[in-house]
Amino acid sequence: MATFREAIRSAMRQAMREDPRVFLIGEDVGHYGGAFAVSRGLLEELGPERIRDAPLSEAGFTGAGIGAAIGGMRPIVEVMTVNFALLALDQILNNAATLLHMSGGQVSVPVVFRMTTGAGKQIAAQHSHSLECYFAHIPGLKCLAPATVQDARDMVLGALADPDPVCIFEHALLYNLEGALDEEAAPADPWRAAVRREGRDLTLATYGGSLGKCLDAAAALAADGVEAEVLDLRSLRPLDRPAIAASVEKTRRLVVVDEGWRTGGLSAEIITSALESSFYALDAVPRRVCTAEVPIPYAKHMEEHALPKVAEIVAAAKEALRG
Amino acid sequence: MSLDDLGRDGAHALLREMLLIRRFEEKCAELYTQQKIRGFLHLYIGEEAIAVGALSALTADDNVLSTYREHGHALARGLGAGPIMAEMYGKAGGCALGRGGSMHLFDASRRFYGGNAIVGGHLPLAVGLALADKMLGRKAVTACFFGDGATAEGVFHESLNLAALWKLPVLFLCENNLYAMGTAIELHAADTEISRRPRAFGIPAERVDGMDVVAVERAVRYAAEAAREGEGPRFLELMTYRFRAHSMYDAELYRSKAEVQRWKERDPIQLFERALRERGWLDDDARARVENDVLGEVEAAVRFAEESPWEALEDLEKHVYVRRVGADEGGA
Amino acid sequence: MAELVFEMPSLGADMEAGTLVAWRVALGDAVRRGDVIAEVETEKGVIDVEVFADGVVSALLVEPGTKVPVGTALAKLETGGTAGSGAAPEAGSGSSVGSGSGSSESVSESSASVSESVSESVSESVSESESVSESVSESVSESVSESVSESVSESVSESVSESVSESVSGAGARAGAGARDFVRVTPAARALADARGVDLRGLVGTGREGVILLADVERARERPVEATPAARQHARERGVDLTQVRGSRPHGVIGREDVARVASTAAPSPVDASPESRMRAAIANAMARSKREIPHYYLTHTVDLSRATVFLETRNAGKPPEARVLLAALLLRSTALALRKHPELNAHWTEGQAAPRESIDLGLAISLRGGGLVAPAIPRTDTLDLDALMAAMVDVVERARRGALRASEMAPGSLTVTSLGERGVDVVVPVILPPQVAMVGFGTPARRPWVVGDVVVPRPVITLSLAADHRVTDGHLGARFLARIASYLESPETS
Repeated sequence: MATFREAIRSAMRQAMREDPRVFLIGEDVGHYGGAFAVSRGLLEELGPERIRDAPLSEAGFTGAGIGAAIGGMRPIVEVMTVNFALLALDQILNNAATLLHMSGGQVSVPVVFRMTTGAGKQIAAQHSHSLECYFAHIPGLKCLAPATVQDARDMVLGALADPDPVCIFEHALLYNLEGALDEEAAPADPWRAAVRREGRDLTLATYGGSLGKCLDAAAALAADGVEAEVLDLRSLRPLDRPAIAASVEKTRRLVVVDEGWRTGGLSAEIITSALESSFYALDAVPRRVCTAEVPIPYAKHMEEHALPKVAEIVAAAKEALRG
Repeated sequence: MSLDDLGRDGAHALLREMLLIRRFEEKCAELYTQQKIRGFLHLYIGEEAIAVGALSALTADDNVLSTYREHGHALARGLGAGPIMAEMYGKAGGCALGRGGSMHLFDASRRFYGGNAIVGGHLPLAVGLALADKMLGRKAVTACFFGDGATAEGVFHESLNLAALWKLPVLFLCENNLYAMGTAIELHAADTEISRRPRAFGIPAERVDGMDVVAVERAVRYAAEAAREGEGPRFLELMTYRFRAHSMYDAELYRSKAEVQRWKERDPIQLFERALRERGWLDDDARARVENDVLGEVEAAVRFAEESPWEALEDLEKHVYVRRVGADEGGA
Repeated sequence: MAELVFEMPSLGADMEAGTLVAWRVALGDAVRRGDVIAEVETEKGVIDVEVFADGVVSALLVEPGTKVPVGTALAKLETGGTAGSGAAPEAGSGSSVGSGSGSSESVSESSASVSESVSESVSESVSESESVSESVSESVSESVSESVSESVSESVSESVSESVSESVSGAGARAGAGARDFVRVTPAARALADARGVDLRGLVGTGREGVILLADVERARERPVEATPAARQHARERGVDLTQVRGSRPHGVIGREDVARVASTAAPSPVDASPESRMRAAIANAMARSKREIPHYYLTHTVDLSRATVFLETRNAGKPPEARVLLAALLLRSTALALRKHPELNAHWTEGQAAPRESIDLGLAISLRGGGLVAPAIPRTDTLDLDALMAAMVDVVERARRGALRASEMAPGSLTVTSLGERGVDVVVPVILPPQVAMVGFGTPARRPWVVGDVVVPRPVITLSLAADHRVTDGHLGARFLARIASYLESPETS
């Protein structure tokens, strides 16, 4: 058993021991031990060159990570939260995602961006948003969202093994999640969705921090005789569209649970994909449970109210059963 | 390095390189009017001494990053007039397969990383490339060209700080042509003496006459040596002027013809030519030979571009990823 | 613009599926109500199927050669109506509208149960002119088809509009927010309904706001049977499985007539039987049912055709063969006119009583060369003058022979006329074609000794016969009816 946080740390440690080109760069990753304590202890093990504290210069150190990747390294850039990554979005989009194509295939950028996402810790609007869809929109990037302890490890290793820039979105509430961790296993293919619970009545498609809510909702539904299938998308770009189609064609009903906002969000892309592939299999209007269209508030009761809730997922599922 | 150190042949090489850039870009302007070249076309004419002087002071192991006004740097780095011209045509024979165009010339084999058109956006890349060299124990420097306009960007300051903080071998080469597009430096900089800013980060910096190719070569050589020896980044403010519009044509409402004329009297090619004649290293015959040689190369480049094929449409989605994964695997 | 779905029509109660033989329209064609837009092959042969609305063909959904269940969407029309305008059935309000299947129930009987003593005289005499009258029949058939489609579409639109308006208002009530211009159904449910030929209009959705779910379609075949008490009793008596009966009443409720139809066609027939043997089986069922259920009474009446013969000779004198009117037309017209005076015989027996019919559409028994019989109706027979009637007969016989009858013509007519002229029989004793309540037969016209005053003279005579349903009329009325036909034949210029 290990925590989600330990699983990421384990993967980074393993990668840095095996490959001298791998290093971690980011705000407070070294002496502080990581804003979310993910890299705690690594500085002592691996030294300040490999565990490189960066000033509060998101564009600067993200761009430096990209430059180092071009120069032959395998950097892991930790951005404290996805909200701050907007300061580096120019680097991620205009450089990391673009250089390979713009250079006619000459300049590849094997860099990994790790960033925290999601709400639930009462840290208010500028630290709590789920902006994965901004990144999943960009050709040239690959995007992963681990939802289990094993995936937290496997996805770091899978991303480092990839020759293209990869974003990993770690939900802040998952770091304390405990689960089985096999540190010896060959990392699972991170690019395919996984069915976390089988069911025949409807598909709950989700990723990252909402997986637990969906599993809870599925359990509640099962008590009422409804068998929900829970699909963990895992890769947000490329989306595993065949897996979405297969599950929806089996259950004929789709509810997407996404902590991002509804408008223009990933839920829209997932549902559209299901409509394109499986329209005639559908026996219900696809539904989505998303975050309320407000900046995430500080007050606990309001924050909880804004986020997707198990009861909402159950209600949406039951609605879907009625067409 | 002085003129004496250069020697006659070295001096002729610099002259030829500057003249190649000048004639190449004059040809580009002509081809633009014939619609052979489209999009933005930012000409370097007037600033040739910087690219030629700086790049003649670097080695093949060094990294070079430039701006969207990079034809001169690309030519001086040896990308070849043909592939550069073909790139501007958008042809498959271009140095970026026609994906980049005038603003995005690349040649990874020559460590030439663009051709970057987000102003200041490549400065962090230069920091990262230098970081990689340092971590991998390579004795290379990274030369990063940018304009005075970029010094107002946040990443300019972030990058100077990072490079200084980590003592990285970066050469920050600021081509101060006095205008950020159409905004004069007095209107965009609280302190117009840009070379004072790096000193706040502890980076040695100096102002150099960017119209004097020998002065540029000498300054860059010294700076590169220091950086290469692990002394950290260096900053040069290279004073220059672009003779033509920001892009192909503009109304030049932001500056006077008299000002342009004054600067043209310090045309770097003419200045250098005069110095060579005074030294007795150049006569009319030699000058004509250089001219013909350069014109021939430009003509060959145009021929190369004209004859180069177009990339196949089905290749559109190539080079988005090195490796397609997951559900994308079926794709290009 | 409203959209109208054109479905595979039911061309008989026993028809579950049909093969689309050919489209007679193309995408984008403007069609008018009554236009034939497709040919459909059934066990009875190829039938021209017409449409009952004006519009533009916006989609052809089924490829020729495809066999699809009744109710399958075949095509879509853009009609001029606005969605939700309600009352006018042809506006359709987007609801699917069949192609007149409402009036063509029990075609199996009409096509099959003609007569024990089958006559071919009408068709034979018609076919004589067939070879030489192409151009005329073409020009005539235009005007005929116009009136045909009019009359048919009227009668059809009544029954269709009833069911449509009901299903639409039903959906509206379920939606709870005014009429919707489409059936609310999930994509999966629609796909299954299409595959199984389930009529979505007949389903009650159990989803939110009444949306039809996949499960509703799956249950469609096992849903509780809704039938009238009379239907249930009849089913018990006849051993009919009500779940196998398609209800024709509003909301799919099964009426007694629906059970009767199934009972009459329920005789076992091998699945792989040839069309001929299946037709034979259908005839057997219909005739058996007729003899079992209908208390026939029979009357005959012999009439002098001298004046009729002279009338026709005079009328046809100097005309080319294709413009001539044959005796068959005169017989039919006389019958139609007589029926006007005796509307009691123009009825259908349904649910234990006679339902009067409004228009006079005489059925014409036509024997097919490959064997079997059909009895297409000639719409509004009484409104056609002799020339028009002649043309209509030529047309319908010709199309019956090549299997190109229209769906509306396969509806049971007012009463059926059969003739075995040219076969030498004296008297035809007909078997009534259910649900009709009477049938008229003509023997062979022949010169016979005839008493005029006190003198016996040779005269061309013909014997008329009537078989009538004693539950509906008595012999007295039947006799007056026959006498009325006779009087028209005796003074043809007045008819």
